[in-house]
Amino acid sequence: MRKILIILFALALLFNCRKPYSPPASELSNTTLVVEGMIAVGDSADNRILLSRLKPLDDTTINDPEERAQVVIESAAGGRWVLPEVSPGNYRAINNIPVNSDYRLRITATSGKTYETPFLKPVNTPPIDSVTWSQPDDLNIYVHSFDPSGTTRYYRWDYNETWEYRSYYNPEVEYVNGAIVVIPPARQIYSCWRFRDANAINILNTTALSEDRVSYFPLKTIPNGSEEGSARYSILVKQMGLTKEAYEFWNILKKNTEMTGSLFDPQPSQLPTNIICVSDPKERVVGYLCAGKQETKRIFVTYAELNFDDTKWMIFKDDDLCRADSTGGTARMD
Amino acid sequence: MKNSLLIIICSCFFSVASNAQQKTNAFDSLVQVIEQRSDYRFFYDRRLTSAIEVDSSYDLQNIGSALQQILRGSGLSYSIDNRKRIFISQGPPLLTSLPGDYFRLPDTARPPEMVYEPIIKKESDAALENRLIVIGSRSSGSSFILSGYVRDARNGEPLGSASIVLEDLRIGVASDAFGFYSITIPKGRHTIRISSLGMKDARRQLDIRGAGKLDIEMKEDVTSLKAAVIVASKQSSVRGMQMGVERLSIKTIRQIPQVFGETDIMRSLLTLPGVTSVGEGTAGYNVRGGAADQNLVLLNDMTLYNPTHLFGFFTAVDAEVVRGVELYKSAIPEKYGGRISSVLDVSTRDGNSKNFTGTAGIGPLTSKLTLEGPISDKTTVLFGGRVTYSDWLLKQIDDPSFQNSQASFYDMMVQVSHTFSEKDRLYLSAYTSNDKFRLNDDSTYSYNNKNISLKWKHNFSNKLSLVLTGGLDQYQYKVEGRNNPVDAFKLDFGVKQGNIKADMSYNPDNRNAFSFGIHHIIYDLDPGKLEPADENSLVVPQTMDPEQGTETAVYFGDQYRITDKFSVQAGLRYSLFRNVGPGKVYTYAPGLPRDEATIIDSTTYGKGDVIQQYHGPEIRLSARYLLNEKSSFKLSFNTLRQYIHMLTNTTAISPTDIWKLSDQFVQPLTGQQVSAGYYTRFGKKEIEFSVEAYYKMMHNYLDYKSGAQLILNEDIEQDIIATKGKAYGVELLMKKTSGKLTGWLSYTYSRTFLKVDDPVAGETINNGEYYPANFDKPHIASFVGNYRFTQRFSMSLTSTYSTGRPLTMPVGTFNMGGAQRVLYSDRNEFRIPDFFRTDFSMTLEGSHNVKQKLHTSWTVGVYNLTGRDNPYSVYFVLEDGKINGYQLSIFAVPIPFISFNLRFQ
Repeated sequence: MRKILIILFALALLFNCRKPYSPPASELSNTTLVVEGMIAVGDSADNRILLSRLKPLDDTTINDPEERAQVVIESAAGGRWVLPEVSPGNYRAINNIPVNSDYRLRITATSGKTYETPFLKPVNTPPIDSVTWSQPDDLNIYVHSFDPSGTTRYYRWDYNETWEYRSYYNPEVEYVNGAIVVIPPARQIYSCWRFRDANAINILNTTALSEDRVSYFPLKTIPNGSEEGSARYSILVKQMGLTKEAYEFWNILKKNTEMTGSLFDPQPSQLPTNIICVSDPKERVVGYLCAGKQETKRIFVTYAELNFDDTKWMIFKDDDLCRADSTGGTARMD
Repeated sequence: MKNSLLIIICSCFFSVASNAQQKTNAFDSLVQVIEQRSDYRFFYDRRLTSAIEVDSSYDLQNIGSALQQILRGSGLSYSIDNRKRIFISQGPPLLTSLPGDYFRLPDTARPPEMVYEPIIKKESDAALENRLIVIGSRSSGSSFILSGYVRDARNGEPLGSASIVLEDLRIGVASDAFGFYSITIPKGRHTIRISSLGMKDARRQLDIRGAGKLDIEMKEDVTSLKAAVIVASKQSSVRGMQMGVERLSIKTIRQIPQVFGETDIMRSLLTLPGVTSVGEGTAGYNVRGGAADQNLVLLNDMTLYNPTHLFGFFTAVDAEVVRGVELYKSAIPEKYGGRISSVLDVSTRDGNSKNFTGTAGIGPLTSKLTLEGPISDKTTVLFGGRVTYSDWLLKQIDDPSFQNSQASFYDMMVQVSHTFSEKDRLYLSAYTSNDKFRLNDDSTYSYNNKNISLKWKHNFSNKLSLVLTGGLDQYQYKVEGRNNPVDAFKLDFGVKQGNIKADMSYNPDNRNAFSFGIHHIIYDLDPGKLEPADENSLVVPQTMDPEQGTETAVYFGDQYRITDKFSVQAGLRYSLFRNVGPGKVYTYAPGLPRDEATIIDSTTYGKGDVIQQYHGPEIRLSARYLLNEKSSFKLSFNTLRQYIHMLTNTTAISPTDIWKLSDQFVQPLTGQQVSAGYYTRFGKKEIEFSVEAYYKMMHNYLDYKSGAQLILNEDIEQDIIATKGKAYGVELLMKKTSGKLTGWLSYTYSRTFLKVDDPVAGETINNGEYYPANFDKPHIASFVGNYRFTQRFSMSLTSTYSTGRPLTMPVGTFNMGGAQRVLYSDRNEFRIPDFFRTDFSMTLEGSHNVKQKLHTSWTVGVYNLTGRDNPYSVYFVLEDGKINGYQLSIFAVPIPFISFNLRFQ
C-alpha cells in the first residue's frame, strides 16, 4: 500500500504541494498518564514502573516524567510492596513476591487522582532455552524458547546491551600541571564500555504453531564492522509471557508508530488499557500491565569469535577516545 | 434549363456572410435575388434567418423544394399562400388555408392503412409536426395502443427515457432503454409531445383509429444545448414518479471542466447533491452515507468492480462511448438489486446506424478513438478505445527513483446491435480495462476488468416485452515483486460473476406499468493466491480456498396511476443467497469473540453443498402527489440487501482491496431508507427547485479489529467486526436548464455515523459509541454553470465547497519500549481542512456545417483556478524526535489543460 502512496506522493510532488500542518491542540497532552512496566513476581523480582505524562506533538523533550507519585503493588492476599522513586518517573524495588496470588498496581499521583489495574493473574513464562548468534556477515542475535505446557503463547522480549571497545589511540601519559605523568589505570581512556536499552518492540505469538516453541526469533542485528563487535559484546535478554490483550497492546503500539494519516494507510487503532482512573473511569490512560515472571539470559560474543570486518571499524574518528565516567569503574562517551 | 432561373451562389462569399453581426446576410441576399426575378414576396424576421447558410445552387422554378433545402436544420419553416407571399416562421408553418378536408366528415370507406413514419423522412420537421398522422384502421373500441421506437435522427441511436406525453389528456409514458415506448390513447385526434435529454422537442398530430405503430426521430438540439434537459427533467423531477434519481447526459458531463481535460463520468457525479468522495483522485464515491462498495456500477448491465484508472484519478469508461448516466440514490427500482446504497447505470450508445463516423481526441494524458457505423442495414457497431501515456508524468519528477517507474492504462468497449425484425433485437457488449503500475523496479501492480454481455429484446406485443440478458463479469488484480529473486512473489486475486436475467414489462393501459423478472448470479471468488515468482524464491505458496455463491432474485412491481395527481410505485424483490462449497468452516464457541482460541469444531463442505443461506424481501415503495401543474411532493421507502462485501482497511478504495461473499460470519448488508421530497419549477425561465430529505439505516457494515490482516487471511472472520450505520441529510438543488446560462446550484447537509454493533466483537471503536464515518462531510455546496455566447463558443465554471473529511489524529507522544510512541485520538475525532475548488473551461467548436466531413473542437481550461491547496490527506512523520504534521495536496496549483477533439464521417 505504501507503494501506491508513494506514487500518489510523486504525483503530488509534481505539483509541489506538501506543506506543514499544525494540528489543533489536544487537551489530552500533559494530563494523560503513561504507565510502562510489569508486575514481576518470583524471588528477588525486579519491579520497575515508569510513569510519565503525554507530551504535545511538538515537544522534543524525551520524557515528561510523573514525579512524586505513590506506586504500590498489592496482592489479592493482602500483600503490599511500595516502589520508591529512584530517579524522576522511575519507580523501582526488588522484592520476593509469591507467584501464587493475583496482583494489582495502584498509583496515586500528586494531582490526587488514583489509578489502578484489576487484579491480574501472573502469566506463565518459561525459561529462555538459549540465546544464539550467527554470522558470516552481520551479527544476528536470536532467542529460543519452549513451553512444554503450551500455555505461554504470547511473548515479549526486552534486552540491555553492553559492549567494550578500544579507542583508536592509547594515550598512556597526560599533561598535568606542567608535567607529563602516566595515566593511572582507574582513569584509563583506552578501554571503554557502552550501554544501550532496547528501542524496538519485540513480540511474537506461537498460536499458529502446534507446540509453544520459539525458534530463531531475530532479536537484534548488529552490522559487521561496527563498534559493538570490536572487542567484547554482551546482551542480557529478558523474556516475558503476556496475556493476549497485553500482546495486542504492544502489537498496536508497534503498528501505530509507523505514522499514518494518509488515505491508503490503515486506520490507527485505539490502544487498549487495563489501568483505570478510579475517580474518572473515562479518563484516558496509556499502558497495559501484565503480571508474571521475568526470565533472563546473558551471552557474550568476543572479537576473536567473530568474522569481524576490520576495514569498516578501523576508520579514524575524532571521538574514538572515551573518558572515565563520574561513577567510576566504567567508562562512557560524553 | 432555358426557363429556369438558376442562381449560383458562391459558397465562400456566403460563409463569410453567415456572421450574424453583418447587416446583410446570406439569406437576405438570396431573398433580394428572388424578389427581383419573380413575383414572390418574403415575410420574415431577420433575426431568425441570420444564421442560415446558403451555399448551393437552387432551382427557383420549384421554390418549395428550394426553400425546404435552405431551411433544413434551422428550425424554421415556410408557407406560401395563393398570392405568392412567402412566410418564414419558427416552428410549424403558418396555415395559409384551411385543410382540404376541413369541412368533410372522415370517409369511412377509406382503406384502413397503418401509417409508418420513416416513409416521410424527407419531409421537413415543421411539416411533419403539422401533418395529421392516421394511426390504425378504423376499429371498435374506445382506446388503442400506440407503440414504436424513439431514435436520434442523426445516427439512429435509440433514445431511452424519452417522454411521450398526450398533451390534451396529460398522460405520459417513457421509452425504455431500447427507445421502445407503448402508450394507450383514446380514439380521436390528439397531439403528442416527445421530449428527451439533449434533443429538440417533437410533436405529432395523431388521428387514432386503431392500434398502430409510430417511430419517432428526434433531432439533436444544437441551438440551445440544454433546452431539452429541462423537458426531460420536467418529467423526472416534478411529474416523474422517481425520486432521488440524477440523470446526466454526456453533453452535460462534457461541460464540466475536468482535470487534464479528461471528460470524466464519476467526477461529474461528484457535483450532484448527495454524492461525495473521500478525496480528490480517489477511487469510488459515497452516496448518501453509503460506503464505496455499496454502489452498483453497471455498464450496459455489466457489473464493474473497479471502475477507475490510475488509483482512482479517472473513470475507467471512456465518455466518448457513453450516452448518459443515471444514478439512483433513494428510490431504486425493483429490477436492480445487490447493493444497498445506489445504482449507477451507465449506458453506451448503440452506434450510428446511418453512416460511418468516428471521433478522435488528444489530451495531455490520454488519446482516444471511437468508430461507429452500420455493417449492414440491420447491424451497427460501436468501438471505443483509450490509451494513456501518463508515464511521462512520472518521468517529470525530479527524483531518480521515478525514472524506472511506469503507470499505464487502457480501456476498450465494443457494442454491436442487430435488428432481426421490429420485434427482435440483439445487443452484444464487451468491455475491458487494464491498469498497470510499477514504482522504481519494485512491485508491479496491475488490475483489469473484463466484461461481456448479450442481450435479446423481444416484443410479444405492444403491451408485453421481454429482455433476456446473459453476461460474464470479471475483475482481478495482481501484485508481482521480482526485485529480489529470493523473495520474488506473485499475488493474485479475482472475482468472477456470471449473470442471467429475464426482465419483462407489461403495460396493459396507461394506468399500470408492470415490471417483473428473475435474476440469477453465480459468484466465483479467488480470495488470494501467493506464489513464488522465481525458481530461487523462498516464498511459500499459499492458496486461499475459493468462495462460491449464488444469488437469485425475483421481483414484481407496478407503477399505478390512481388519479391524475396521485401515483404510486410499488415493488417487491425477494432475494436468496447461498454460499456453497467446497469449503472448510470453523465453529466458534457461542457468545465469545472469534479467535483461534475459541474454535471448537470445523466442518468440511463438498462441492455444491450449501454452507450458508440467506434470503429476504426488499421493499421498494414510492408515491407522488402533484400539488399543481408546477409542483409535486414525493415519498419513498426502500429496503435493500447486499451479499458481497469489499474488505478494505483503508480510507479510500485501493487496488488491492478484496471482495468477500456473505457466509456464516459475515451477514448480508442491509439498508433501509425513507425519503421525502418537494419539487417545483418557477419563473419564465423554468427554474427548477427541489428539496429532498432522507434517513437511512445500514446493518452489518464491516469494520476491522486492530491490526487486522486482510490479505491472505484464511480466518478473516476473526478480524472483522459488524457495525451499524445511520445517515441522514437534506439536499437542495436549483437548476436552470434553458437559456444561454444553464447549470445548477446545490447544497447538501448530510451526516453519516457508524457504531460497533457486534456482540462478539471483543473490542470496540470509540467505546461502542457512534463515530463519524470516513466520508462524513456535513456541508457540501456546489455550482455548475455554462454560458453559451454563440452556437460555437461556450464557457463553463464549476465550484465546490465541502467540509474536510474526518481524521484520526495523533494527539500526543510518549516514550515506551525505548522509543517515541504516538497516541491517537478517538476514531475520526478531527477533520482535515475544508475543501474548495473552482474550475474553468471554454470550448470552441468548428463550423456546424452538416456537410463538412471533419468537425473539430478545442477545449482549454484551468483546473483549480484559485490554486488553493486543498488537503488530500494529512499525515504525520517523526523528524528529529518531533512529530511533524504535513498536509498533502494534489493539484494544488492552477493546472491549465487543452484538448482537441475531432469528429469525422
